[in-house]
Amino acid sequence: MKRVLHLVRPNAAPAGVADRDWVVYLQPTRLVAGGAPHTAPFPPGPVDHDQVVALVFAADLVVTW
Amino acid sequence: MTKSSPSSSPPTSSSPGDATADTSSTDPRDPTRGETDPRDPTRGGVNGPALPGQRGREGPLSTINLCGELCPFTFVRTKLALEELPLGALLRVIVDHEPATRNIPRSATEWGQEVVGVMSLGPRTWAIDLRKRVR
Repeated sequence: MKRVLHLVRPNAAPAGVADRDWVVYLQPTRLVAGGAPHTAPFPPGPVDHDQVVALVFAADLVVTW
Repeated sequence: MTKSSPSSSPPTSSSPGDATADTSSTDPRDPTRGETDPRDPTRGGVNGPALPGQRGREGPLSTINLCGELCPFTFVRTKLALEELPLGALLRVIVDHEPATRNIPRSATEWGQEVVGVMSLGPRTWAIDLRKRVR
């Protein structure tokens, strides 16, 4: 199963997000909770730049919005 | 929307205008398709010509212009651009987002790439030179 990370710019609206996907909204940067179980390496909530980068490396696919 | 190509180690990523196999996203859901300014040969990709006189020790210097881009997209696109280059290649990343002058070198170093230098090109423009050392 591919781990998909969505990076969402302010005012952008991601589409086609699966429950298992990781979604990070920016400004403020926060990882939102997806479906259960939460599989991201960080808990939902604010994440810093380094954590976003870690997610980028951990994901199989990065989608930017 | 732009999609990245996945990777084994490490995974790949992409973003609008990045130089991936997917670069020219045809995804109809992609709200950023076609944002790249066709007049700017360096905007959003590494396939543009190097600036005059720019050559690395191991080849020509590729340039990606990320002016107008913010973190963490600056690193995401830098990562993608580096993935397109061969080992030893030089990549110049031009940014106008000051935090990127710290974030890109730090993240690139942690990734295993070489930070050749960071220099100011103007009041609000910086160049970050990276050499690809790992895949």
